[in-house]
Amino acid sequence: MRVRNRTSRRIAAAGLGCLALALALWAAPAAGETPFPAGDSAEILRKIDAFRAPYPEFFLRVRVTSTENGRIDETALFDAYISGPEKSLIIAREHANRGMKLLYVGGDMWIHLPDTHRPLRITPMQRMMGEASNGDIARLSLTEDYAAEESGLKEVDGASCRRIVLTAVRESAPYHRVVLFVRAENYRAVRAEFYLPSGKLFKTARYEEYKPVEGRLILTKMTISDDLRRGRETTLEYLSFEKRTIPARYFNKNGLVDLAID
Amino acid sequence: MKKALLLMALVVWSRLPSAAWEIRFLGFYRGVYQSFRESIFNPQNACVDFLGLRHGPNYTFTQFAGLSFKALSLDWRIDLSVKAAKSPGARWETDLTVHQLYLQKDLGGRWSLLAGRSIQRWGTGYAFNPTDVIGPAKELNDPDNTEKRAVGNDLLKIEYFGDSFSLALCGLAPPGGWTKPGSEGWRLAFRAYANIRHVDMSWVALFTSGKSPLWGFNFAAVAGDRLEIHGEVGLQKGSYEKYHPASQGELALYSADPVEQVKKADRRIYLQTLLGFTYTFPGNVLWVSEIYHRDQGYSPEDWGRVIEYLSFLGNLGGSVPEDVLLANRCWCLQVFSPNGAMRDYWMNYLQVPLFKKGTLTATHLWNLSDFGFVLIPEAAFAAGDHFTFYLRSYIFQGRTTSEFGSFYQSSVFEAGLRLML
Repeated sequence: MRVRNRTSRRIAAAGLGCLALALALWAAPAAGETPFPAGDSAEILRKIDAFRAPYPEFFLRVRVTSTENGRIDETALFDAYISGPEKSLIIAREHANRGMKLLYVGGDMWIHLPDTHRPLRITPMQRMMGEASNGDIARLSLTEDYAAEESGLKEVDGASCRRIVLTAVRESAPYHRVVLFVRAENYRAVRAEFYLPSGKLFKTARYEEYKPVEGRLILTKMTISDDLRRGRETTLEYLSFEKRTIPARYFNKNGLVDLAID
Repeated sequence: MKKALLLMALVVWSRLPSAAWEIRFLGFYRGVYQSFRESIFNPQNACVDFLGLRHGPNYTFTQFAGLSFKALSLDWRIDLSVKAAKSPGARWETDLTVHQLYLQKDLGGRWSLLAGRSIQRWGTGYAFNPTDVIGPAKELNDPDNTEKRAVGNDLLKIEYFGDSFSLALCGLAPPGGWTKPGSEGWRLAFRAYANIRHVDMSWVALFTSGKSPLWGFNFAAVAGDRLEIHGEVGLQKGSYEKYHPASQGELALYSADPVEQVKKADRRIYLQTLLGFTYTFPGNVLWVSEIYHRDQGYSPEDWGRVIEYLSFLGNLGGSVPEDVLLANRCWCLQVFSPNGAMRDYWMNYLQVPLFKKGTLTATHLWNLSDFGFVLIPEAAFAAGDHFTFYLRSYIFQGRTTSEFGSFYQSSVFEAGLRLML
């Protein structure tokens, strides 16, 4: 359980964690490939998620850059293996935390630290510690964690947007309430606001860049700003997508320890 | 054996494609100062002399290299370390250790085969693991082996991975070295794991030739945002630990071997249990707490008999052969094993981040039978991504007849530098 340099590792773990649920978000089923439950909420989420996952199962490389008042504070590179809406494995590629793995399966999370020999079950707060809070926003698994409700139109960044209120339906959902602004014509996300249970605005995410992958527009860059600590931002750049068949052991906690890194 | 392993490693290394490997260097450079005390186990520092320990600083420089790569359609892992150590009044001694050396093959996406020397951890507990049936012994100050002192077992493991479960079967060679497969010391271990309703559950079994099977169960789960709970249970008929015959009320004055497996033919079930949690406070403060019980340990009555016997030996003075005295007193080195000598313990671990680069930790192990304890405080400060400086101490306290209060070390101070590349 205990690790050396645990603080820095937990920070990085949180960095990984930030990706994990988000990557569950990435892992949301590609449009037209998986049936969704009927209902307005599910339909809204299906439309939003269609801009996030190019394949049902894929590999993704992510560059995360943290800045403070415009100055780069920290960068990190992660590999992510995604399978469906409920499974993601994130592996740190750089610096002291190289080889750290974070597994997310259906709301449960485990971390494996490279100098240890067993994966640890971690709590939601552990995964949100340290600098993690930046990326943590990106871990939203919309389809599994939230119920959606439209509540009018608003102009955001020059675009006419639908205002979607997301309310957590699963205990493991990282945030209690999210307000998402999506383009009115196609539900492409433009901005998201994340609120604490007290109602205070916590974080804001800007969905900045979409590029075509397999003939569909897919989110490739987003920036998250900290509304409680002004000047702090984290940018996630999704560098590459590869369609892959991923072995089952990648998504089993007992498979992490001996897993060789590509 | 080591030379053969190294040669094999070099052959494989020479065939590596340039981009398919990952290497990790760790360095541990430490100076240790031990304070000794006389006790019922260590009269006139007899144990200290027997072990060749001296007052003064000890230095250890360990360089560890972990290499993983893909070659010959297999995943390879090699963990080696070179250690140089110097004790007061002694020369430098060096040692090469192969901690892990295994190859692994994924078979069809769901099966995995692993062969070689590997460290396998099957338990869920932090400090104690009744179900860690094939892992090397833990160290209280470093249960996760981040300082790379543990050495794996030579084994062959096949594992099947389902969507939310896995099954593992493992054959292990004897710890002391290879013998004819199936002969004494060979072990077979099995683990069935499943995540059921968000709870990790594992059932384990260990079959060893000449011993009764060991059965175990462990779990880990998360409750709410901040609490992780874990537990383990291990069951075995008879005890295969060594006991001082005096603890059983037997006369053992001139026993050449002062510890014996006196309970291995016992028909009763010996139980080990562990229940613990990890709680995360605001500010990243982490608290791990565990209660551990083992039937195999000495009861307070057993312990009292051993103390009484050793007192008797000490009072005989020169009438008992010196080697018998020493042997009887030095059995305490086996007693103070990572599992503890007695039956009930309470472990607490606290970790407090200090600014951005520092960490304060404290590990406290309390013997609930005699209320002696060992306390391990540590302060660590990171310098960049690659260096961490730390100060650590081990403090053994308790009544003079208690487990920790009678240990031959009263305190240990350690200063070290960790390098990570």
